Amino acid sequence: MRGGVSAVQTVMIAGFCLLFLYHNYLPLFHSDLWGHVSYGEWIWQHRQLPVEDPFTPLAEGVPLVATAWLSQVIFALAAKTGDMETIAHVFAGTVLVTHLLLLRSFIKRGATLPVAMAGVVLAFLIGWSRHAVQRPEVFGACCYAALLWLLSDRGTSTVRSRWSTVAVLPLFAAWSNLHGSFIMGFVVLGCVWFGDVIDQTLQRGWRGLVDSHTVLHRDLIRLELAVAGSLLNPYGMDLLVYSLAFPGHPNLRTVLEWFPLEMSSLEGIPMAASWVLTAVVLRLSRRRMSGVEVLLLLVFNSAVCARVRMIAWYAPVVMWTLAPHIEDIVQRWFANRSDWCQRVTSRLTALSPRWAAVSVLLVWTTFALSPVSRPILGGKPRPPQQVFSHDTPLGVTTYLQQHPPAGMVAAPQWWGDWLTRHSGARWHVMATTNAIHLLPAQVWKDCLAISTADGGLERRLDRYRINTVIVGKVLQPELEHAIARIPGWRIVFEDEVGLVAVRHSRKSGTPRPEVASGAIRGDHR
Amino acid sequence: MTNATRSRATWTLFHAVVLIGSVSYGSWRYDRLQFDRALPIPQNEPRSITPRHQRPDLVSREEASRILTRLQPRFRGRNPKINSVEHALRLWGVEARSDDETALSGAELRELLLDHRAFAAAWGPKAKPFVIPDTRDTQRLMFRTDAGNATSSHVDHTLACLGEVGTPLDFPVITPRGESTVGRALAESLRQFSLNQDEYEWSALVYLLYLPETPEWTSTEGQRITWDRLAERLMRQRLAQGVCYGQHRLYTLAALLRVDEESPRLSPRMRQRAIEFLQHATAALVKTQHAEGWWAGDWPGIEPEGSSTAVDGPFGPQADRLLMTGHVLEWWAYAPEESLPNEETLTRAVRWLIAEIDGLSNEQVQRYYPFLTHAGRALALWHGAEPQALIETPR
Repeated sequence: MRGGVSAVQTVMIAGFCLLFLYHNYLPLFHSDLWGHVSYGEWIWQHRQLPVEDPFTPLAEGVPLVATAWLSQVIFALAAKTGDMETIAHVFAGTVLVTHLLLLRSFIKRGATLPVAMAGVVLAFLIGWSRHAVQRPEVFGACCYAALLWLLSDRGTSTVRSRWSTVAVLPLFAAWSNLHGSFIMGFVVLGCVWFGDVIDQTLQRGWRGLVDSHTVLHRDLIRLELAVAGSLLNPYGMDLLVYSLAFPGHPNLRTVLEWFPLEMSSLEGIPMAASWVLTAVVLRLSRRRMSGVEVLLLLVFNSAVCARVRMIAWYAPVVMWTLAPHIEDIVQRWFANRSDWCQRVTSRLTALSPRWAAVSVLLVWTTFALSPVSRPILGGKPRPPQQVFSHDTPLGVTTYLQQHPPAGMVAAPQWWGDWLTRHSGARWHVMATTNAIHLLPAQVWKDCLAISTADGGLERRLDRYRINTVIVGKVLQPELEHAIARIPGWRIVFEDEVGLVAVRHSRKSGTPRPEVASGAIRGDHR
Repeated sequence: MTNATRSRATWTLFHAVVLIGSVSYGSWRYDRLQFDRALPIPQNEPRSITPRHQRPDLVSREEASRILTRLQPRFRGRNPKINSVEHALRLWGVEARSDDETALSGAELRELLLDHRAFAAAWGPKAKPFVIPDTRDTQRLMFRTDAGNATSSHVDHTLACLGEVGTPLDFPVITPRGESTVGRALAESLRQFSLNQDEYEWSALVYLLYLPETPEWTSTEGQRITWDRLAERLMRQRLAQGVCYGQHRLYTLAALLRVDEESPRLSPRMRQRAIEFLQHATAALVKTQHAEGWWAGDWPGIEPEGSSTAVDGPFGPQADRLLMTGHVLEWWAYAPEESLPNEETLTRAVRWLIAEIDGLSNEQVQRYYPFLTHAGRALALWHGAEPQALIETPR
């Protein structure tokens, strides 16, 4: 029936509606998002890229490469509307597009809609730990999904293949300005080229490399276009050099997401599950594994083991690799089943206007229920406690706005971005999440030591002339305990999220007896 | 050759050119970025920083000579404290000679620091060497610091002392593993320098002496170090924080302003800030000077953060007063005119210092020796003569 929608498609639509709704309702995270917004606002206001961090005095003199300037401007423009929830709308929309692209790429790889849907769900679950935060990485993930989609055209008709090859150039041009993760695109393209080399060599010996010139040539052209596209950024080749060297930055060794994989962690459990899934699927699938698939699995598994944050790039690629194998297993399973199965399948895939109506209703309901509809349908804005994540220091911010701190402020770096933005950059925090890699190693070491109240706390506070300490109660119990006991400090504000401690400011002291009186020479002038 | 083969060859060549071109350009850019982070090239002869003020009327030759005679480096024999040796070298210079047989000459003082054979002869074979060639790289050289009497007491103090007495960078250093040069120690200091390290007073002074023409450089932490930034670091902490109750920060800042007069390196804004900072320090000193003329560790009085948190030194209040007063008079000798105190404050400090040192026993002089060298140097500077010249008998 024309113009209809099947039950399976309706389920898919429902899934995407839920995905959008969930991400649209996700509270705006309290960490680096606000630094990105601040950077974007700075870039928008000055019409140029910053050469140093404009918000962290201790990072002065350290050159800044704004690898995500375009994403930051997008976030800033969203914030410029005056409604912070616009950021959530942009975020939810991007996540939706990303997963639609993944679905489409799985289908182009030969998966049917149900299998492709399952692949999307599994990719989402494996990369779960990276989904909750609004940051430029979401735009990078979207570009990544688009690349997988373009690569899924390999082996199809020549015109489409050429189109998808050429499209790599604008994709990487956008990606390299949106987020530094475009390097992952090179990794995928490199795996594709080298995988094809392996395949051709295995199938036809070294002669195969010459015979399959067109395939390998296209792979190389694609890689070259990707490099050319990524050079279309304000830094040119320096951005590539910087992005390649970035993971080696010494400060990142202390940042959790740059740690190696630990099995008993938020990333370890889904990784273990994905390994079990991979083993089962490859055991049952009769489809031949290509060199590209082997390489992608090897490289991205190794990447996650070395740096846990790589799970964000592993999750889509593992399902992209496994989707055709899962399809093979499902097809064979159904082929051995009775007619009853076939009948059920045909009913579920039959197009119907009723399911179309249900789908429209689902989409409308999602729109109406989600915050994105408020500007159109009206309604009360949500309170800050719902818009911002629970650990956002709202009380601390209000207190500091009424009692502005003088001098350097030691605050958890995950709050640094928020505090800087909500003071109009008037409060000088010691560190922000966005400046971790910009802080001199000594400063970062001292930040961590202060954060955990390591030995020599007073000496470190003195060294930076810190007169205000902000403590995040959930993650800094040691500092909360220590600051209450250091002589000369007192807690001036406290709520369930954080506290503010300041040095005593004694207006009058006890003058030493028998002091001389006089004036400096400048006074006589 | 068929068309297909020719086409393949052309494309292969194209890919090869693109690949080689991209990798070469990327490598070149990487090299350029690394080059920007190369260590600065110092000058071989350190700059001489001359004091700004002389007041022979304030300190007579006889007084200065009397005090300095008591401060001769009588370290011949076993286990001379390296900290004292460094202070003595800084006070007397390398040309110094003495008729006193127990006193070391300037050259011998420097030899103790830079020749492991002299050090080992004085400290015995079991003492860890003072000069450390890095075991990972023999090109590197460091001075053992903050690990007892046979080591320097502060980061880059040795280098600063050597620089102040005019030691060139190609001056040989005899290490247990062979010969090196002072220049390698400076390179190591630059490699390890962080703007936010605990002790930075002497590092800044060393760079002022050996890098006078370098407008900026990049630290190994990736931070551009400018003279403005160094000045800001010197002014960042509360007044009494830092070694010797913050007095070395003030000394280096005064020296920086002095050099800046001759070859500008500070921005006008930073220069003005630095002068105001010294004025502020002097105002605090004027306010807290004891009626007798001395200061102690609580010299800043009340700051925005509250009273000074300085604790008493290990040698007691008398040593603290000698330390403070000698250091204050020393940096004032270099300070800009507008940050000097009034006549009364200056006179009272000088009078007290001379009388107090006169009253010390020889044992006390030995105990307080490092502090007293600052006092002796200050008196010589204010009189307007080199310490060595003040104890030489006129021929």
